[in-house]
Amino acid sequence: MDFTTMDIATVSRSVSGSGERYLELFLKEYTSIFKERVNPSCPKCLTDYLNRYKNHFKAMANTCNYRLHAKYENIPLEFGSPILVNNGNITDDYAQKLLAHNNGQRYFAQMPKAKASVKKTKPIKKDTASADSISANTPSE
Amino acid sequence: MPVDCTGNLTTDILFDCSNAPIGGIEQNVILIAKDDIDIVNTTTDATNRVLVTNLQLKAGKTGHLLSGVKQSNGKAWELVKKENAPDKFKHTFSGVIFNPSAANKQQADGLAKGAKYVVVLEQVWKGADSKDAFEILGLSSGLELMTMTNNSKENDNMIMFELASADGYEETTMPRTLLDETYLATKTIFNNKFLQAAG
Repeated sequence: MDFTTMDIATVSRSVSGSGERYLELFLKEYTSIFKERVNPSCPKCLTDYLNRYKNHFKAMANTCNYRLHAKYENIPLEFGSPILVNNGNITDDYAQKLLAHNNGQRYFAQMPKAKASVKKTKPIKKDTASADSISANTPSE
Repeated sequence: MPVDCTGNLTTDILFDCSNAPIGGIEQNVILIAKDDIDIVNTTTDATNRVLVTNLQLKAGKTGHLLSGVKQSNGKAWELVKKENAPDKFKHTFSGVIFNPSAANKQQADGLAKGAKYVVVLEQVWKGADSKDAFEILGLSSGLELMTMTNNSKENDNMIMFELASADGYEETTMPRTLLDETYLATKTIFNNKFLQAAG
């Protein structure tokens, strides 16, 4: 059952063919992922659970190399922007804009490594050198 | 730079008429168990000890939202005069639990078990560029549950409670201001209840 495509009304009101409520199935799956207690009688909380669940799967599907710290998720792209950036919708462009904030690097739990110029090195030959010659750490062949 | 412990004034105390005082706090408040705060990675400004630049929780920990209405929640602090020691500050947070449901009573019951709490709140007055919006109560010593009352004939049967510095264990400063570089970033962290992902 794919809850990521459902709205909260469907999740909270529908019943499966075998008579199980979607809500019960959803909350079982939610708690197995997030390991937290839930409050089924709170409509606002249920909406939050479904959003978090959907964002979780979006974030897993997102191949962007930037990842925000949990506490900075849904940060506005810039002052007054309606775009709230999270790990589900982050792109390299969004990340660059966030990096332009004051000390913007602190938002990120993961960033792609800067491409450094890598010097070409000769492959190390396998030889049958003795332990003494290995510890000598000769710079070149 | 060595810390100035003399307590001498170092600059003027001015009135910024474009940011005139406004009373009250915003409705929602975050309660954090003091034990959940990562003291090592929580940082204070090097030149201003009442300015916290990063309030970090331990891995997998989060704060908890206490939702309010209008000015149902409130804060206060006062100087505690010490005879032969630097003066201290008593922080007080007064909160309301609107629904006396089993789930809410369970949480209220938890508050009464003696743990210490830190309260983060947003003032209605936010200062220039909203940089003074957020305050932290009880960061050094923590706040304890001091009163919790419910009366079916008063306050619409709501649960009223107060967290405050315990006598003799007051705070070394007035409530600290929290600013993570910008209001935008600080508000985002506040909305996320200071959630720290599990390591």
